[in-house]
Amino acid sequence: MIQFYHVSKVYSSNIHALNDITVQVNKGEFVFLTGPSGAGKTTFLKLIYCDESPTQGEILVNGINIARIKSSQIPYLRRNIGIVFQDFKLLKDLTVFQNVAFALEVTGIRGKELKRRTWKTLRMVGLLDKMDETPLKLSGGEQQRVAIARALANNPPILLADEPTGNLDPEITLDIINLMNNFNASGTTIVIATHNTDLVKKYSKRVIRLTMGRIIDQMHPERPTLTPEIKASLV
Amino acid sequence: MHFLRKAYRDIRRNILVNGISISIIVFSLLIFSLFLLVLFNLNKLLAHWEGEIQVITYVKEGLSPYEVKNLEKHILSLRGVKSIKYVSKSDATLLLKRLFGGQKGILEGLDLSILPASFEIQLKKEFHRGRGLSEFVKKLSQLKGITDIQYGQEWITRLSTIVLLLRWGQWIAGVILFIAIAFIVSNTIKLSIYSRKEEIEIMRLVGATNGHIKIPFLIEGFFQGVSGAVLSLGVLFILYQSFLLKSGPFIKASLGPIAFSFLPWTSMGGVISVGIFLGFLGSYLSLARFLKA
Repeated sequence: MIQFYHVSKVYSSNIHALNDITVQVNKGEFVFLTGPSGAGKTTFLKLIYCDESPTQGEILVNGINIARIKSSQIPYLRRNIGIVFQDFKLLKDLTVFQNVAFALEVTGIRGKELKRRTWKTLRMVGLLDKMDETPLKLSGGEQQRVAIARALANNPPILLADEPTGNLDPEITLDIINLMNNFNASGTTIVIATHNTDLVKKYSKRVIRLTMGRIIDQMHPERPTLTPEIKASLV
Repeated sequence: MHFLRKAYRDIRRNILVNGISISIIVFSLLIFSLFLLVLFNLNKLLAHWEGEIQVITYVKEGLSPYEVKNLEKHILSLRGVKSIKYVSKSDATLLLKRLFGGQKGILEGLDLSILPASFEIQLKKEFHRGRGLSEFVKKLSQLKGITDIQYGQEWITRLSTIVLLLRWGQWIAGVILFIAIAFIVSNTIKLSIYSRKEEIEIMRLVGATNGHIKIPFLIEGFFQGVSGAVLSLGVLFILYQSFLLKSGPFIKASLGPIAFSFLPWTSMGGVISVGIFLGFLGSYLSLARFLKA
């Protein structure tokens, strides 16, 4: 589903954000991308949704080589990728419904179909009763749910999340990750970038650890490289 | 239809930013249209002054009516003559008397028979100045039966210089003003687009094509341009009605017989076109730069 082959990203100020990364995320996987700030997590995600292009290497997303994608094709690629951020990126003057419908509108969906799909997505994230509220009247966790609903409204096969729980308290954090877990169970491939190692330990998911732009470790729940803690959490 | 509806919704959502943009367009175009209004009336005045130019030639004493008729024919055959009017000695006397009106007494005791007969010659427009005029005067002076020619040489030369300066001045000022206004308007629109940076960013993230992002903004730019231009003409008309027309005596003194009038339809159309052009182009260029970044 997502394949990186010897990918490097150097920013103009000679900052090596990513160094020779080769990694694969399979269809239907749930992956945590961890590492300290500046490890290259955000760059990793940005390369997948074509907000940045690699300096070297090839990236395949759904079989398309996005290192060579035309800029006019990028919007169509993004419709297959839902993206969630730490700061939610909701439009404050639109209602919850309008914020979610926004993502469907840009793909040309209108009228009844737009309403039906927006309602359906809001029901999935448990916010149907708040659809007429504006984001500022919602709690942080609820705002992130709206952002997830917007990201998933188009039924994308991939969901990327960049520190989605960075602004949330621990209880709400678990709520949000559990919600993503549910979507993963229904087939969505999920990649979450987080520096919250405690959170990662709570889930028996694959973990890619980045430091200074390199993968230093990959832990798989089924493999013996798991820490005793994660093993314990798997039991 | 979807884009029109979206543009309408966006304008309502961003009413303050749109209001500021439109106000700046109104003021900028008001300056521009005020400039056009002054220019339009000034040109009318210049055309009137130019139309006033006539050549008077005095006829030798003692010519027979046949000779006068003959002279008139000769003058009419010269290139550039639009019309000709013979003012006989008695016509000249009458004219003088009419001119003095109530103070006819002044003329008493004067021998009005010294007034010479003359021809008042109106020239075609292209003979109003420069070589055309001097060549006409030269040919006229070669005719027999003529004593003197008057055509206000100095006045014409000075007027021609003023007309030339004003015509060049209006182009230069117009171009500078247009550039300044284009700069102000495009920067205002750029600010209004930047204020919606987040919205554009989200649209891009959820997979909106550049066309989908641009079209509502271009419609907004078009709307800002049209409404800014129409409002500026409205304000100008109010100014014209309540200020320029009321200061009538002063303007009448400066413009003479010319009535101070409002912009013609073509100029109003021009101002609206400039508004649309600026609104549309301002949005287009700002968006192109923004979407590239």
